[in-house]
Amino acid sequence: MNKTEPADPSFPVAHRQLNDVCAALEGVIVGQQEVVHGIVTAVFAGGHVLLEGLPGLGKTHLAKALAATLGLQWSRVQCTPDLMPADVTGSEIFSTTPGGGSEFVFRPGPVFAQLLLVDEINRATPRTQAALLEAMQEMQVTHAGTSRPLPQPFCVLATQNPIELEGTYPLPEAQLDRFMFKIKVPYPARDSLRRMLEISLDAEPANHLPVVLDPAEVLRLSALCRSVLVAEGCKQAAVELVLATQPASAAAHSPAQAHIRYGASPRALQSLLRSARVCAVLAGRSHLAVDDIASVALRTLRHRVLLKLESELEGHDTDTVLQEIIERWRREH
Amino acid sequence: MRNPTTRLFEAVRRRLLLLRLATALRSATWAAAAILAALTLVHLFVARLDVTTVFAAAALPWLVAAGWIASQRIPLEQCAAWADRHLEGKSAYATLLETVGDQTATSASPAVERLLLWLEVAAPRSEAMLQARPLQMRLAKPVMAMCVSAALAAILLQIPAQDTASRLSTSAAIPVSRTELAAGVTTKRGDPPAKGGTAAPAAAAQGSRGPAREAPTGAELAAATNAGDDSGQKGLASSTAPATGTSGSRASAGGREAGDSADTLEDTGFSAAWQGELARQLLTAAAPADSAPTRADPARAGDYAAAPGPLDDPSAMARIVAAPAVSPEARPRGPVGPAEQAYIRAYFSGSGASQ
Repeated sequence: MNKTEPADPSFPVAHRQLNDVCAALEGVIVGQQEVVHGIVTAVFAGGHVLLEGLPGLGKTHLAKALAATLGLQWSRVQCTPDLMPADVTGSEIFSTTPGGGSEFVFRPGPVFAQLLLVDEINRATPRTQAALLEAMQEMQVTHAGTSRPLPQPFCVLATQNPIELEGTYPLPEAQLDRFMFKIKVPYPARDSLRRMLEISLDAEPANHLPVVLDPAEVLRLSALCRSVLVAEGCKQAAVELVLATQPASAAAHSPAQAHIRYGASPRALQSLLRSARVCAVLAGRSHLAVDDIASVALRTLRHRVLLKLESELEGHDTDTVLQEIIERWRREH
Repeated sequence: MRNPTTRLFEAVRRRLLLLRLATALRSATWAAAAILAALTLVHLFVARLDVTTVFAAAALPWLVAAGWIASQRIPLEQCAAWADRHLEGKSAYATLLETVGDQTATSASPAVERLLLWLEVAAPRSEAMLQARPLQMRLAKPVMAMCVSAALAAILLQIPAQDTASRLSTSAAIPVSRTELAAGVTTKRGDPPAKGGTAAPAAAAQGSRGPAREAPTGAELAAATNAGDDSGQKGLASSTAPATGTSGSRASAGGREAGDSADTLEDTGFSAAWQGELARQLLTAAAPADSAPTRADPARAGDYAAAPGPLDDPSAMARIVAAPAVSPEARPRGPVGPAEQAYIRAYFSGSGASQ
């Protein structure tokens, strides 16, 4: 893999580069192909990812590997209940100038990075969580009346633990909606565990990863993904899928009417198409297919719908309900 | 648009036309079968229909289907959508049409170039898939149903319509019975009642066991009514019994209905010795002097109201003279009736004495 790839705007080259990134990550993060594809898709679609998984599944390792592969400047925030917003965004400190004067100087926080790993985000207080809202949506940080843009590309990888919920602050719906994907990190399979031992028993493979792309190429590929052709039928299909999750909609499917309290938002629709375009490029196409929308639908929608309380008590799962909706929608389109 | 894509769209258009033709044929065949069956039933149970009419009506769905097919125009967008969905087009064909149709789109953009390259590879593959895809007409069931319906219609329409017998089988029974009863009343008013005629029971038995015979016409019924003789009665009974069913058989079998004749106590089974002289005189006094109505006739309710009762007539009561007492030994021993015999036997068996 060569870092100095010629700046060819063609789709075949982009397809090859994206697959190179995925292959490099899969060489380190063994047995997590779905997770790797999801993260790469989100990065090139300009989105943020919420990783949910048990401890020890390689979430932090994945973030480090991604930063190394894409040549991104990255930083890490370990969230705790006493973490303050200024610890994330930065603060002004009183400093003396060489001429003998003094002034307040803004010291950027860890958010000023191209790849921000927010570990165990649900252990931070809602105030600190909210400090990330502007950064994730507006790609800027406002402090003391001054807005400072974040470096590009900017991507937030947040992790959270589905267990040990005591002393945590679940993310509010508004913040969850800012994440393009919510990716669940499963346990690796038997073969993957065996191979993982060979790779990472005495070494940190992420430290030795080659750089496949640089940030400029990431931006260029992101722009190329935005030029993917989207037919009216695909747009209509995406709209129908979002409407199918909204129980109050006339186009809602019966599982949505039975189990979902709040459906997906318009931001979900935007995320669907943005990420599906990257999937099309990953598949070597310059046009969007309904299959691309279907491939990203679950990870785009699972944190944006809210089940009814009685359905949760009956044991229904968001993923199960959404999969049923997606299958019905896929038969129609 | 490149040649492979154009060829594919034309092939898809032909396939869609064939599919619509199959749909139209299926619908027309089912409709024709239904029409044939319905009109055959109409012919059998409602009204006589001509074979030509029935089959002309069955041809109507075919005309409608032909007109529908002739009016079909399949746009290119529909071909593209079908190819995308069924030929693994992955929305490329629809995207191509929209891109070509969009005048503002730059055909030299990398995305369009890549799309055209992709289609050059995908279109022949889709065309091969289309050729390999079987055209399912699914006409076996409707054609079979239509053939069965047509065969049944051709056979059953040859049968003359059973409108007279079938339609009158239930409704005609009541008027015939009424006519027959009227004839019977007329006859019995003039003649002594037939005592268990031999012809009528035979006719009744024939009516219950024998095959159905043709019902008499109205003229025959009127003639039998006017004749008023036994032969007419027998002929009427024997002819109407099967067609009119149970009521006709009972009426023509000589059975006496309530109110047909005066009660002469002949059927009681009691002997004259038990009736006694007083009873005989009472009966004589109660007997009508003229042709007073002796049966319940709703049409003559006024006559019943005007007719005096036997005990209301003082002259009749005056004619009753007390008979001299006669010792039982002096009474003539007439024949003992069956009821008396049964009573006597029971009496003696109960008392332990022998006769």
